Amino acid sequence: MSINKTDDAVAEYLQELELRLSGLPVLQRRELLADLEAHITSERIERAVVSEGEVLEILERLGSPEVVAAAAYEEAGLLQPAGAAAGRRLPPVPPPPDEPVFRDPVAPPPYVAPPPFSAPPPFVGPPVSPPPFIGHAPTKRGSGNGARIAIAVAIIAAVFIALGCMVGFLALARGSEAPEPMSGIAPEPAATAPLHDEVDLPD
Amino acid sequence: MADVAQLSTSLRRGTLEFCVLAMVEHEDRYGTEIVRRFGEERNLTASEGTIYPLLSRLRRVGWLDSKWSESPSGPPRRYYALTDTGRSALEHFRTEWVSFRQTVDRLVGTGVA
Repeated sequence: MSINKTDDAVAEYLQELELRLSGLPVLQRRELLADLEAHITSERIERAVVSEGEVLEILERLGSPEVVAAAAYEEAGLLQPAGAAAGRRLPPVPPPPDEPVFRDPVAPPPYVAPPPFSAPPPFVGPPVSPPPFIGHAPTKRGSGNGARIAIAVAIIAAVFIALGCMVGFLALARGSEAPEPMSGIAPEPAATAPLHDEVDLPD
Repeated sequence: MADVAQLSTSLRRGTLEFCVLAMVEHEDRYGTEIVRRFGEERNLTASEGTIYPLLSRLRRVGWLDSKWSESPSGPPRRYYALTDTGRSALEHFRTEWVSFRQTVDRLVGTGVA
């Protein structure tokens, strides 16, 4: 039961690594996969590992497929192709697709969002430089003006209503008592309170 | 933080491979054995899996030899052995490293004396 699950984890790990190694010469790719497979098997047998958690630990110590692949390209003296970095098909846990090969394997940059098809660095992406205005401007000019007029009217109306309210409010306020002094009194107690404390302390 | 990681990567580059050569200097060892040993040295290897591509390169440049052999338990093991050129590369590194280390210690102020 758990053996199947752990086998799945190992198979998935090796499969993802294989996808990432597609840019390596076939023999080097096969060699690395065989080495890792032998490593995982002998770790499992020699350490009597059965639980899925322990198998995942073995895989974790090996490092993510991304990190191992980056090391493989570096040792082979090859640049990691962007397609191979992304894993040809979409990987289950999308990693940063354009991690530089020379970077430290320990610190994968977390900021790179995983856009599946924009391979190299952020700005280069040609699909993301469209001219958005040109389409709209000519077709919607008329209705645009209409909308502007409507908005202007609405604003003016709102201003009038607000003014009306203020006038009404002032009239009411004059009718009753003026609420003016509050603002003058408020700050004083706040300012005096700490002074008292300071004076009291030495005694 | 990234700088710290970058520094250890840079220091590792060019030295780790000679640590590998030294490991098989006196007796042949199989991959998992080598990897386990380095797994204990966290400042040398953060990910054990990256040792295998390194072993592969050392074999391709002719410093290591490898051969598969049966194991008493488990799958066949790939044993690595130091070749003659590997041995002289290791010797060369040793002399270079000592003078390199002394120079750096003197300039950086990390020397014992």
